[in-house]
Parts: sequence; C-alpha cells; structure tokens
Amino acid sequence: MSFSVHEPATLNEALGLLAHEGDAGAALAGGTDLLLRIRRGTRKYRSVINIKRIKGLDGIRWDASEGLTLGALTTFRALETHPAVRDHYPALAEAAHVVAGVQLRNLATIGGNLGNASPSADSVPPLVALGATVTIASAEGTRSMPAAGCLIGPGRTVLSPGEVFTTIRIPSPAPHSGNAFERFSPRAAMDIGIVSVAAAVAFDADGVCTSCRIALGAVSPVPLRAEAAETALLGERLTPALAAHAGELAAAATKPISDIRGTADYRRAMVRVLTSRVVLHAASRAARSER
Amino acid sequence: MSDTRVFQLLVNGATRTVSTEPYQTLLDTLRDQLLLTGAKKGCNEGECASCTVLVDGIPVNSCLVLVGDAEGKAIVTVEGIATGAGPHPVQDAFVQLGGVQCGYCTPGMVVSACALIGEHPDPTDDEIKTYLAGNICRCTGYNKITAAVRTAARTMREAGPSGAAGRTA
Repeated sequence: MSFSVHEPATLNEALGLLAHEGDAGAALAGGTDLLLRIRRGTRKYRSVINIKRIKGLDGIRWDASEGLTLGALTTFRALETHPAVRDHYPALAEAAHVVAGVQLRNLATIGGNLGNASPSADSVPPLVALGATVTIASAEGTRSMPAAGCLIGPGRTVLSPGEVFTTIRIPSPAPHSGNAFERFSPRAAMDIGIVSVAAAVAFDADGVCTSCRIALGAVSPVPLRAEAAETALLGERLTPALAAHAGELAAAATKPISDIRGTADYRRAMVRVLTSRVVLHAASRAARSER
Repeated sequence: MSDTRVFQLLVNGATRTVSTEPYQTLLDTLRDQLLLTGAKKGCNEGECASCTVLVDGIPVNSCLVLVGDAEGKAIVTVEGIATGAGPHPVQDAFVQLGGVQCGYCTPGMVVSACALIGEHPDPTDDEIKTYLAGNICRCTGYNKITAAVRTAARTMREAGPSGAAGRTA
C-alpha cells in the first residue's frame, strides 16, 4: 500500500488534481471504504486526493423553506445527532444511526457512502425517498441530479474521473408528511443490511395520501423505488391492510441476490414486512406533524 | 512515491515530530514511530475498534486515519487517559469490576468509554451498549465492561468536574 497523498486546501485545487490524475487518482473523504480497498489490493491508485481539509464541504444547514443542505463530508455521527435531521428527516437519522459503530460514524461520510455505491449503502434509500438532489463538481463545472440516479451498479456511480460529490440537498418536508427508515440485519451494529426500506409519505387535510416515495436497499444492483407500491397508496387513506398490500407490491418489484446474508426469497419476505412497517411508521409521524 | 514527510503531532499533550510516509495510518505511526503500543492493531479494517484513539475528543478507528489527517489535532491514546499519579476512574473501574479478560480490546474500550462519559455523564445501559457497539471483545466479557463503565461514570459524577480527570479533549 503506497501512494502519494495530496491535501488541497480549496475545492478548485482538488478538482484540478482529480482532473490531472484521472483514473489514477481517488478522492479521500472518511477513508473507511477507500483505504480498505487500497489495503486489500482491490484498487490501486497512484495518488489519493484528501478532500477533508477543504472548507465548506462539510456541515449541515437547515432552513424551513429551503430544506436541508449537507456537505458531502458530513459524517454519519453528525447526521444521527443533528436536531433538525432528527426532527424533519428521521429516516436519514435512523439510517445514519445503524451504520457500523460510533468510531466509524465519526469518520464515514455521506458523500463517501454514495461514492462507494454499495447496493446495501444505508444512506441511499432515505436520500431517494426524501427526494434528495446531489451536486457533482469537476474542473469543468458542476451538475446536479436526483440521488436515485447517482448509482448505476454495484460499486459504480455516475461520477466520471475528475468528478466528486460536493453537496446533497433535501427539500423541506411538506405539511402532514412523515418519513421513516428501517434496516434488517442479524446484528444491531457493525453489520451490513440484508434489506433496508425508507419511505416518505404526505397526506392532505382529509388523510388522503398525496405523495409517496418508497426506496429499497440491498435487494437490487442499485437502490430501487417501489413504484407499484407507491401508486397503490396515492389517493388512498392508509390502513394496515393497504400497507400490507404495498409490502407485497414492493416485494414483487425486487431483484435480490442470494448470498451469505440471505436468500433471494428471504430478502423478498423481509421487504414485504419492512415496507408495510415503515410506511405505517412514516404515516404515524405525518399524523403527529403540525406543519 | 515512498518519500517520507515530517509530521507534527500533538499526542497526549506533547508535540511529537515524526518522519514517515504520508500513506501511513495514524495507528501505525503511533505504534511504530512513537512506540505508543496501547492502541492495538486488531483487524486493521475498522471492524474491531481496538485501535480507538481520540482526535479532538472524538473516538475514531486510528487504522482508518492517515497520519496527515491527525496533524493540527489533539490526539489522546490510552497512554494519555490517566493524567494524575493513579489510573483514570474508567481504568480503575475496569480493573475493580473485571472488565478485563485477555485485555486486547481494553485500550479501545477505555478510550471509547471516556468519550462516552464525556457525552453522557449518566449513561443508561442502552447508551453504553450503543456507544461501545463497535468495540469487539472476543472474550465476550460485555456485561462486566458495561458495569465498569456505569460505575466509572458514577464515580466521575460524584467526584465532580475536578474528579473527572483525563485528557479527553
């Protein structure tokens, strides 16, 4: 394991280095995935561009009308403990909380979680369900896209060499809306999810569902929207029976693999249970929300 | 590519100068250059937390931190937890309550427990278990470890701010 380390002080300097190094360079954020890949020899890089000293790439900003703005370097520990994240985006706080252990959560970043593009990445289903938009920067400029479009396969993102994730924006929650996340794994900590589900739902004053996003993790090459389940809830009043039906539709939409953590059938069964549970949890939060 | 660089590290209150390759981890630098072998190299993959040290008061896996990232920050290893003549209340409680079996996880446990008590002076068992969930004890002596942390927290609360000895920031 040997590589040169650059420590740019500004984003422009970092983007210049990334452009220059191309495939031979990697942006280092928390390091909890990248350093392991290098150490195990699964990837070799001539140089690592450490972006952690760059001002403005971290930090959580909350504004009631603009919503939440996260620097890509925001750690999972910062997310799980931030009052506005816990209050308005509990799905994201809950996902951050199940990542590894405290020591890892103090290092690992949300931008890195996206960049690592694991099908089981804990932060991605909530970002998709909450309608997050991700900003990508390169020496050529910036572009933005929905979080759902950032991952294109296991370990593969839309980033071209020279690009990095810089900012994640999540819209302000609608009135009478709620969101929730749940992950199923044998251990409560230091584990990888067998299945994870995030849901964000909104209702009108009569309790009719006006918007619904359900995102599933670890059951397809990239986190998946459960579109049939969403459609089933739209325009309806949510009941436990309808939530159970949504769970069945979500399970039918998955393409899980069988591996050491669970068989495809088991994963589908867990999607069914978790989707129903998470949708009801999100709805109960919506009922309590005063906005 | 393997050029060494000089790094200035603030470790346990003292400025230390080391010359090493920038791709080295904080853990290897502490152990091999500064001979501070309290932080253990268990898995070297961020799975066991036996390498936990405090960086500006925050517990992290030092096997996943590059040495350069520790520059300009206050590093505390288990060697720096006790600042007085005797052991830190957390260390004392681990000894008194049998929170130590083979001892390999103990430095990481002690450092993490100090950070926990800094954040939660009166932690519940759930808070202790959640906070220490990343610290793996292969002897599985978790009950006594939890009891030791609970006792240490009480000792430190009763002693007040002056009794909360230790360099946790």
